[in-house]
Amino acid sequence: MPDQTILRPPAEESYAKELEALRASDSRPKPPNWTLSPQAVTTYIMGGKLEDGTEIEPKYYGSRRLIEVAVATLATDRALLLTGIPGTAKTWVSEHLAAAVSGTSRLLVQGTAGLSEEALRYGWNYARLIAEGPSERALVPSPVMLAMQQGKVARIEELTRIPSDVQDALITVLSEKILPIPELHTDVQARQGFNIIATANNRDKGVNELSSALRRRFNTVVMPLPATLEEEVAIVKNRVEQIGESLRLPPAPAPIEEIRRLVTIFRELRNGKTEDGKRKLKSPGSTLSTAEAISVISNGQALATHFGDGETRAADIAGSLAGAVVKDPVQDKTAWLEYLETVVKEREGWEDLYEACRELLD
Amino acid sequence: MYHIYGIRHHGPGSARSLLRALEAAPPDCLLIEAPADAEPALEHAWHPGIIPPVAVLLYDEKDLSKASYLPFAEFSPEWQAIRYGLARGIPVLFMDLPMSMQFQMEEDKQGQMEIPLPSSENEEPIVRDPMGYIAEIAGFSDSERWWEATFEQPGHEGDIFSAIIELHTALRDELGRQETRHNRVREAYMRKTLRQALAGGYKNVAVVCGAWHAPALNRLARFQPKDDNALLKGLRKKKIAATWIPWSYKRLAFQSGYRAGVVSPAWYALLFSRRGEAVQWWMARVAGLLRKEGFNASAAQAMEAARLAQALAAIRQQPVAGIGEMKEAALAVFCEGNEEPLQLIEEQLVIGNEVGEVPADIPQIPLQKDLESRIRSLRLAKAFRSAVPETKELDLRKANHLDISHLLHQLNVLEIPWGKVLEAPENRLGSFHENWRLEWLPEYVIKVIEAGMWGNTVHSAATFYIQKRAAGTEELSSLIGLAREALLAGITNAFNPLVGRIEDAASLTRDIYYLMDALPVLADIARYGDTRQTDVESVRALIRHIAPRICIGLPAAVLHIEEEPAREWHRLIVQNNRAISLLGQELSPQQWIETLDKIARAGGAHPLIRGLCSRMLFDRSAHPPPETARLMRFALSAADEAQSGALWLEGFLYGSGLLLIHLPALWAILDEWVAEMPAAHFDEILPLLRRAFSEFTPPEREKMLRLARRGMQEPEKNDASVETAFDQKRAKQVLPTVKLLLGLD
Repeated sequence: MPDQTILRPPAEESYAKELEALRASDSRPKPPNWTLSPQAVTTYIMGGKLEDGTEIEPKYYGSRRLIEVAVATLATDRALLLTGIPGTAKTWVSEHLAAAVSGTSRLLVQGTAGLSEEALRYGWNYARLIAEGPSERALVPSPVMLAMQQGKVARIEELTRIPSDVQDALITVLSEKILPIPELHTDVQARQGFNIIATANNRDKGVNELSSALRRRFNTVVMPLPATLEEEVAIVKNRVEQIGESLRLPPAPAPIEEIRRLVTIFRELRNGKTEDGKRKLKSPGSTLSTAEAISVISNGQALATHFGDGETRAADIAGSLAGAVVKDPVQDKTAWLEYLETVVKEREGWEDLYEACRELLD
Repeated sequence: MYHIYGIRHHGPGSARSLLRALEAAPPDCLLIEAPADAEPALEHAWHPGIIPPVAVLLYDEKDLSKASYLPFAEFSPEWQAIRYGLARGIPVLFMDLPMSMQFQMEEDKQGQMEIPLPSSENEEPIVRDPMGYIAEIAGFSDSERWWEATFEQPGHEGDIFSAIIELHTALRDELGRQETRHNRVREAYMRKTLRQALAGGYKNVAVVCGAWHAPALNRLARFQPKDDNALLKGLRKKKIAATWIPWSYKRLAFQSGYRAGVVSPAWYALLFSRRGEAVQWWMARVAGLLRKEGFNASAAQAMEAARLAQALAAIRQQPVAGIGEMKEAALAVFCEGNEEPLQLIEEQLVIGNEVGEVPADIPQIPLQKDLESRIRSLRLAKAFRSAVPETKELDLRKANHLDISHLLHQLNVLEIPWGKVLEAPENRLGSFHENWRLEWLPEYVIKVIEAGMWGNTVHSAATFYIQKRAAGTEELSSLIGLAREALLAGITNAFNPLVGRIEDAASLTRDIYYLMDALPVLADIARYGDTRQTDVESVRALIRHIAPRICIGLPAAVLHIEEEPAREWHRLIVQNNRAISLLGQELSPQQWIETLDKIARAGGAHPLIRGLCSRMLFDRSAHPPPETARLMRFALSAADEAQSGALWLEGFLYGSGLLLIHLPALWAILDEWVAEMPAAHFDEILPLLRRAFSEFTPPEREKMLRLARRGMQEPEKNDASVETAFDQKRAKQVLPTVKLLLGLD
């Protein structure tokens, strides 16, 4: 039983039942050291119903083919790179892939600009190093090294934020599957099943582009934004319900009408045109990803629960909606105002939303 | 005894299975589903110079609109069967309904002439490619993969053809579909041929036909010969010419509109020739093509991509990777998830640009004959056969040269770019000279043959094709382009109807932008058409209709516009002004002048345009110098923004600044304007002024500089000192020669 006070348990714990059911019914050949067969991994991510009646919840809404490419990549010995603009479920998918393939999603390196090579290779327990000299016991393995030793999948978040010279430490690991430890005249050789899933976003500026040597060792899968309004509404609804559960908000049905309006607004602003394709719009500089739509709605739900009557209304989401759209106080604000005045104002049944948003701007 | 081999047209899997089956049970006679009157072409199929993809072209020599193509690729089962039979000296017969009868049926049905399509293209998907249809039902995107999974896996290698017959018998019985008359007649004819072959004493006849027809031939005993004969009654054989022509993968591809085609000829070719390692070969091709486009693509990546494609196929439980898997793998490995590089090579990769070869000693189609005879009579044969490009200079006043120009332009109309015009000036209709670069590439043969469907001679084909293109467009600019092409190519009979279409389009268009875009070209045609001996009276009439509409619409069109469109209008007004000057005789410029005047005085018009119009009015002496000075002073008054003044100047000084030099009044206004301007404004408009002055010739600018200097130190009287700066003695030495030249002695 997972600890109920944990804010967000890792995938392998929150979906332990599904994984167990999949394992039990999985009769297809598994690549060495995988807990599930590639087909079962795909089913785990995309959802479905097992023969024994267990319902597998979909973790990713979108193209099955993309997930198949990702799983097939992990089954060959190439590493997987998930890219896309922020909020396209890169991290989410990588976590679930690792959980399904290796049974753990916790061999994780969080890429930052200040990351040092030790975080990708190994560090030293200096007290012991000084006391005993270099020895295996003084070695502090990195998640990557652990993954190599155990034949599991390691995850590297935000690969492109890691300084280029540190990124290079991965090249040998990925191509030779070996991590030399010159201090001990030894090395760590990766076991079968070892692989790396990296995520990187291609929107931010000032990131460290991957060198072509490193890029060559990754298969790249670009995570797209949801293709249709329906798909996006489904994603938001689903996630909002899950978040509501973990935040212990009193169970309320997901405000489907608000979600639909919000997703429509996000899609229209993102694409620079109305959904019916009749009008051109200014696009604000903000990302307006599905992930942000989710947070706007759950914000609104929290507001409604704690300060309102529990039903999420336009006024509850207006604040965080404006916050999500207007990132740049000048340009984004013009775009948002124009959108409000030309589209929201005229749309039937949207008067409350218009009022609520206008009120905040004045 | 006979065997029915139901195949998929252009299916490499079918071809392979067929060869295996033929080896296992060698026939003594081969019947192939192809029009019987294509048989004369068979003798050439063994020619060593013939390299697929090729097609048999069937056409009525008396009526070339009746033509049909029968394409074969290396991997077509029919082609393999033909080669198999010819190699072993086994009689090979074509058994389908003769094309002449198919033409006749087509004609009876339509009651009018039209270009008949190859027989297999008229059929519904399930008849044309029943196995593709079943594959789709079975969830395969690609019927070759379905074939592979169903028939080619180890352990399945039994008698697949009897399975196919059973499958299609069931399909035909269960669906209970009413066959089209066309199909019933064809099958009757096939049965008739089969009966004849059996009566001829052959012991082991192999019948190669599309799988859909297999049941109709297999149960021969169920059909009565007299019923078949009744079906065929009234159809007469006519003489039909059959010849081999080179074909291309592009034309074999489904995407090109060939409905019996395949999605990816290049992939099918690999599946046929290198079945075992087709994926690896495919990825190696991806790498090669990407490298050619300048991307990094290494052999290691090709290997990884092949592996990923196979892993993907395994996850999807497919026995072999299909095009979908390979594309996705290539995207992830080679292109870092970006679609663009793949799109760049997609056509070459998926369809392939292979072109077949047919040796010269095989008979040709009429258009080819006409082209070659014209080439001979115009003495161009050397350039035609030459492998290196040649340049040719034409003087259009010579009849022979005019004919050459017409021929080359006609070929260009037909999209056969043998010749390219070098350094084409904008009004090239006005020139007597044309410089051509001639380079004949072998793949143009197929373009000639493609063009063969438009007519028998180059001239008639070009005429027909230009009319067809004109029928497909309502756009004024493209119609005018076509009219120009027609004029250049000497296609007078297409020219007049085109002018009519232009007239219609022009009266429908509301945007005078397009009219103004068109007028200069029309003026060119009207003025210079004569050098090409064309009747251009209709064009003159058209101009007389268009010009007034421009004059009416223009002043409103240039009101309240931004700078960028203003520059576009500037260009158009300059061109139209020139065109109207050229047409002086037939078009009274008075209305144009009034229009310009209206714009020059309109406060809302863009200053650049106002300046330009003022200048044109001055040039046409419509405004006397004082009026121009007044306009200039008005435009440059201090109340206005400096910016708009500078734009006005730029428009006004367009082309040349000489009038500033010759009209001191104008110069003075400009001088005053610049002098009175606050320093901050001056910095702002300096770039604009620079642009306005940059187009003047160096001597003009020199003179202006001098004027400006003098303006500052007013009292300097004359610059005699400058004028006497030359050597009198040396100057006088020229005088005798000048006198001689002027005949003063």
